[in-house]
Amino acid sequence: MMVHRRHLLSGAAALGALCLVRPGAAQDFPARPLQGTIQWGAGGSTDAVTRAVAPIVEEKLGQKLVLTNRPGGTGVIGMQYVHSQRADGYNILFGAENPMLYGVLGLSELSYDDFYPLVLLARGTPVLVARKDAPWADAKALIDHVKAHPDTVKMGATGVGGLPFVVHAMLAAEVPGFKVTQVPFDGDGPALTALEGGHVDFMAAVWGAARERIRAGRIKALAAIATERIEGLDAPPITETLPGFKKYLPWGPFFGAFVKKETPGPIVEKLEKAFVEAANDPRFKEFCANFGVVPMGVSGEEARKFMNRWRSITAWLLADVGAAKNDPAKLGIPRL
Amino acid sequence: MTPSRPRRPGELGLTLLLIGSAFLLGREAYRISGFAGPSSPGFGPLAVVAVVLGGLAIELLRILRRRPPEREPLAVRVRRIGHEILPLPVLVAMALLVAYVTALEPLGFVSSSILFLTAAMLFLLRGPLSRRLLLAVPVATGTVAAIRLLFQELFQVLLP
Amino acid sequence: MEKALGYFLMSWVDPYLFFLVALGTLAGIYVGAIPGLSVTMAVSILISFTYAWDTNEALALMVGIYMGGVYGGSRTAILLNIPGAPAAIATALDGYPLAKLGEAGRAIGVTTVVSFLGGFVGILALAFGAPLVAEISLMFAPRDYMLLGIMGLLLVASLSGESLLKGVIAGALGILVSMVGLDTMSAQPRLTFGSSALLGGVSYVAVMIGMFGIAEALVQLHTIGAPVVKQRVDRVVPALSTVLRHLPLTLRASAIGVWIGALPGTGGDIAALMAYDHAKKSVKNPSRPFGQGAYEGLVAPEAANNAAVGGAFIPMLTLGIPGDAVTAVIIAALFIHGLRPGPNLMVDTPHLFWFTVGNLTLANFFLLVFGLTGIRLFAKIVEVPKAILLPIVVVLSVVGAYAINNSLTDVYWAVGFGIFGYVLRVYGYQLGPVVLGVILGPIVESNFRRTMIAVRESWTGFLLELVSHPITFVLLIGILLSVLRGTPLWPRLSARLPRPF
Repeated sequence: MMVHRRHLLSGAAALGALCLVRPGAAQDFPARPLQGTIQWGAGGSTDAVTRAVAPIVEEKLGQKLVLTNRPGGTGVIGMQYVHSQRADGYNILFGAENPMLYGVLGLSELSYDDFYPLVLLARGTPVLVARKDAPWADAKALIDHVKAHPDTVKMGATGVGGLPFVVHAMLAAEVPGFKVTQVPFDGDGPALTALEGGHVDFMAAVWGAARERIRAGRIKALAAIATERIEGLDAPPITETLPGFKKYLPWGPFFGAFVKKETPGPIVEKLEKAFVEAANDPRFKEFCANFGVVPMGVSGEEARKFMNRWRSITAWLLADVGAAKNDPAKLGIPRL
Repeated sequence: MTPSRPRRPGELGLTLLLIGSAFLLGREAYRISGFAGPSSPGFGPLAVVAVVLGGLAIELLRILRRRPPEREPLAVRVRRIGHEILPLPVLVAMALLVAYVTALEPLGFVSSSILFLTAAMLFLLRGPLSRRLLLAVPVATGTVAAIRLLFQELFQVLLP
Repeated sequence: MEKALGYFLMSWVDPYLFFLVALGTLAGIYVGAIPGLSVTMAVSILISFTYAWDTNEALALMVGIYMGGVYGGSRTAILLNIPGAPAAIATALDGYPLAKLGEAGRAIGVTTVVSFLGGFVGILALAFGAPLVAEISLMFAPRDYMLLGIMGLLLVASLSGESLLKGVIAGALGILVSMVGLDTMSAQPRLTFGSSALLGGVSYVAVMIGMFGIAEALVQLHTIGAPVVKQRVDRVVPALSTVLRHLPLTLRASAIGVWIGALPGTGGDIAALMAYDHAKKSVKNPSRPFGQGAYEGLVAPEAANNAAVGGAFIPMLTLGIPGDAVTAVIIAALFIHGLRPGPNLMVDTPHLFWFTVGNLTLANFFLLVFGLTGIRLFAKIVEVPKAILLPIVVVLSVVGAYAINNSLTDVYWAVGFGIFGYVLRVYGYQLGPVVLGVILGPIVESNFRRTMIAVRESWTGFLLELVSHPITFVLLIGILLSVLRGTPLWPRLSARLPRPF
């Protein structure tokens, strides 16, 4: 740690260190503990998913993986930190989907384009939920009500670019005249709590976070934002009400592990193998089922394809509702 | 608080400096969303800057009502400031502190901390140099060793 | 009932669980005492550490750390004026003056006992009132959180020292600091002057460490030559009469702690500040004036922050809603251990509730034991010559700031705020209001915005909201009374009114 920082500072030496990867380096890798940076705070979804997979990764690599939360700026701080470290495979970024929107929201020049996806661990499925005494039994009733009473219904949200915001953008695109008041909270947990307390009327939340509250009847589910039924959820997929949603789905938050793009190939291969194995380990899959997320376990090109599709859908939705600071077209994000 | 109390050296300067910074913050706050509705992101910062500026303006008036400092030779004035505002130990400590924090990254935590502790203790302790050294060096090394053990080994904080 | 007792006693009869709770409490005290090391962090690390453990074992350790950690923050607050955790900020206000008077030992003793009592009240509330308290806590809307935050901000009046005006300026500066960074509601950077390093905002722990630790060390250099205060270390365990004298305040502060702790958006730090404010307003004849070593100023925050532990478990165990940051991490840990935290947690895993209550109770007893041993040794820290102690305080502050997020940026902030804080102090600005502003500013602002959004930006609608809901109305009246009390109008008003209490 100390040694390589010193190298970095003495300009020329740093360049040398970056270019001359000793041939033996890849075989020895990992020779010391790896450092994992979590983009989000302790107790959040990214944190939980990361801490669930980390012990399995340690097992596969035979080396410690020390995890640190570096939250802030919807993940910008953590990403910047890992990007400022050497591309030697010892610094791993654990993040969620947010960096795919840094460009359109004007938050950072960095994005996952500057990193290599070792693995996409899991993805979540959003569900549309309402307070338990709301007068709607399904998505159609909600939509009719909103159309008849524009701007009076309160939707729980998590801020611009958050999951409820994007689902709202989808609804607004598919249902002309869908006007609600979005009340943003500090995350989906606090927003769901407000929904449970009846301070907002409905919202979209990831299935894993809403599941237990639905099961206990403290909030009710209107629809799954998916093309198929979710196991354990007694609500139809949204595509039954709004077939237009098909073009966005599957959509939802995802979690993954990344290294800097410049990391030498053999090291990436080693890491990728360990992470994919860990993500497909039965213990992690069991956690996913319990946590209400869909295990993915894909890496490399396949992961890249998934992420790019996600970005195209989301960036353009944001642009269409006027929430994008930068035009996605100018950033080279194709419209699907 | 009585208006007859003479101004303290630097009092006026600090208030003016704070007012200046508040204006800068105000401009930055205005840039967020201009004068938009109460739920806009810029509303809070602008409102709070207004409170700061209002408070500082009253404070400025209070200071101006006070007796301005008497004219005195520069040497006396410097000594007075040194006594009331920035005594030598504080000044040296601040310099050491800034040097310490700047050295953290290039030198690493262990060496920079040992250096800082030794230097600060040597400066603050009284008595012959050999005795001070004999006390400062072991205490500095011991402290840093204990901190490193606790933070890095137990709590997995990777110190710089 | 018999079953409940069995679950309750699980950790009392199983030697290994018993040991884990003890170990956790002891470790927690030190984690809490060291600035920058937080209970949240310790519990996060434990998630990986206890991955392969049995859930009960992991929980026993975590609960111990939590209980010990909340108390531990008071140690450094009293001895060095650096609150080990934000929940101990209010403790430093009177605890450190006590150490300067040579009563550090007694201060720690009193703190330990009232922490124990507060913790006990919290546990009782959890054990016997959980479902009801949880339902009530859900009724708090954003507007109520806003009013709670404003109530806390009123404390500026009592923290301002010589000049209320300077206190208000300092508090407002603190709020401004809290606004720096990315505004998640709008995804807009605020007050960052275009720097992406500022997007994450300024950690309030860094501000706290700078303003209390580093600035204090610099101020102390003014009196570097002064002889150290001899600490009286006889009678460190408070007499029963002392405890009884403070009992009414302890109970009132504990009630505040349970209530604030049970609210999902607030934790022990705010509970302690509000309890301190309450003590200042309700205690007519403190042992010494507040801020100069009043034992009442120690009793209230310390009872409150430990009562908040039981409080925070209330929504967590009954509804799966975290009461604060630590319970949020414990929820994540339960998920990883294959449990499903939520409203059905008590149905799916019936033992968990009473098991946790049992662990908390056990941890609370260990807190008393560990807290009361070694006080004499700790009190001696204050007797270490300043020439040695102050540099060590600075290094601890630097490491602590670094440990918050493993980042040097926080160190730079702490040092910057340390020097800035020194300048403010020298010119008669108190630093308490700054830290208060940093902590409470976001609660007031974000909830004000939420309320405004919900009424679609109409000020009339906003005022209507404030008077048309019972909880909100009570809070509003509380604030108005509190403000009125501070004005010269109050003595005349209260003379005319019949006294209700």
